[in-house]
Amino acid sequence: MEQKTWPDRSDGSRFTAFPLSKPSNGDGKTKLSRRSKFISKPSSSQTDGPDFSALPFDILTKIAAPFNFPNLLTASLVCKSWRDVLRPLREAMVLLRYGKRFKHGRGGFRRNLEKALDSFLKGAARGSTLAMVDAGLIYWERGQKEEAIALYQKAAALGDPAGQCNLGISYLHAQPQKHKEAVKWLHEASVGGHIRAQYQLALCLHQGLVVDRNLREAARWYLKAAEGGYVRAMYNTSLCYTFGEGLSHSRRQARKWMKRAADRGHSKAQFEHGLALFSEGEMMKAVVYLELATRSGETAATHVKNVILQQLSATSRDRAMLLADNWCALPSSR
Amino acid sequence: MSMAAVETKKITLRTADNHEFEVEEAIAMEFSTIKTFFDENPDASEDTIPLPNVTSKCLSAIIEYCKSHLAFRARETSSSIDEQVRTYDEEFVKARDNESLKELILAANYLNIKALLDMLNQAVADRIKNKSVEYVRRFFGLENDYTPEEEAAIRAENEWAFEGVDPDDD
Repeated sequence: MEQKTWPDRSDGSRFTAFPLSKPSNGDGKTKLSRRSKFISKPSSSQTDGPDFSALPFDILTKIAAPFNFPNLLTASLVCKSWRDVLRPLREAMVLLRYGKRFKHGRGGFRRNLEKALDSFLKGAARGSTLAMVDAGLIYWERGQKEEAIALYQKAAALGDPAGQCNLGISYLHAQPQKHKEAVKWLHEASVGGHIRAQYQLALCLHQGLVVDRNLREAARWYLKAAEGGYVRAMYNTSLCYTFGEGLSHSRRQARKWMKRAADRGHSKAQFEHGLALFSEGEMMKAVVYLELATRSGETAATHVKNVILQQLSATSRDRAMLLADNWCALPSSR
Repeated sequence: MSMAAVETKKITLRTADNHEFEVEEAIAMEFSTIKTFFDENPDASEDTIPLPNVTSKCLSAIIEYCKSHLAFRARETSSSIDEQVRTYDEEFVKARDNESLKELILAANYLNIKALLDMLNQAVADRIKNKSVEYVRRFFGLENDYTPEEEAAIRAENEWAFEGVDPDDD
């Protein structure tokens, strides 16, 4: 009877077998005593346990795929075998830099999207999810959605939050719409800390796209994104507090977030904040915000603004306009 | 947890340290390597599958993981389930020492259990990101085998990344 052989993992993934021999660097004894500080029990039956320096290189590459350069460098400096495994990713970083320069036309480079895409694709081929996402962005802007989505999928699978966010958003725009998938990936990205994804996820939950309208979850993610600096999330968070939607009613919190959004350039927030200041009797401050709102196209603000202006002296009017002229939005994460 | 199935097929696995584990087919099929094997050899299901690269301690952890995740997936998707899965995964990793984590990664790779491997990879990544080189070395029990010259070479080679005016986020 034929002996059924166990499948050989020679499917191109360059998997190296479970290392049972002593690692070549350092002497085993020293290593063991160093490790025992952080390990509860010593290695059991094996002559020498598995060694992280001998981690299969496709695994280490996968782990480091979404790293930015500082983290990649840290990993490369850990030991020589890691340095060697991570070389392609470091090369990808160089290509990423070139790509960005071509894309934005700086650092002495003339803007050239073809070359940018080429650089990004080369970086993606070396395994960097950052390059994959940037390549995807160019494809998307050109209307080559399928190519973009393929790249986002690769990046998302490797745990890159930007890739996951972009994938989620592309599923929202897909024909036919893939809401469930979209929410799944936006959720991954949100948990991974991606601020825009958090806002998008909140929107989906708010609109009841996949599950029933879940206001509490939505508000939770609006707040998260707001705390992360996303201006539209700040505005929505304020509304949640005002109407007690998903968050407990709180006028104080509502005012706080509306002001933050206003200070970062949100025109509707500037209008609302201006109105609130007006009702509190802060005429000068109110009129500045209302002027800013008007300039951004909030026509509704004009009426109240004019009401206040009529009550002000000429000097105060001029001063208010000067303040509006010199106003600068605070930084935000968009 | 009671299973509704009348007769669940069991697969026998033998570990490196010669322990035999009987697992339900559904769980064994989570191991893509095993699934592929059975797809190609449909009449081999009665045989014991040898796993020379996996210890019994490792396999029992893996079986526990797959069982739990199968149970999670059987339930309706919701954000609270996601929360529970996340908590489970965190606890799973926290409960293991470095030695076990390394073994688990190698075993999950060998058995090709995507979800587990991804989760473990993420755990490792979190232990590297935004940490010092020293911390990473200590955590993974790795020796610095760089000579000072070699280390300087690598730093010099990559200095370009820290000069110049390219912004980070665009």
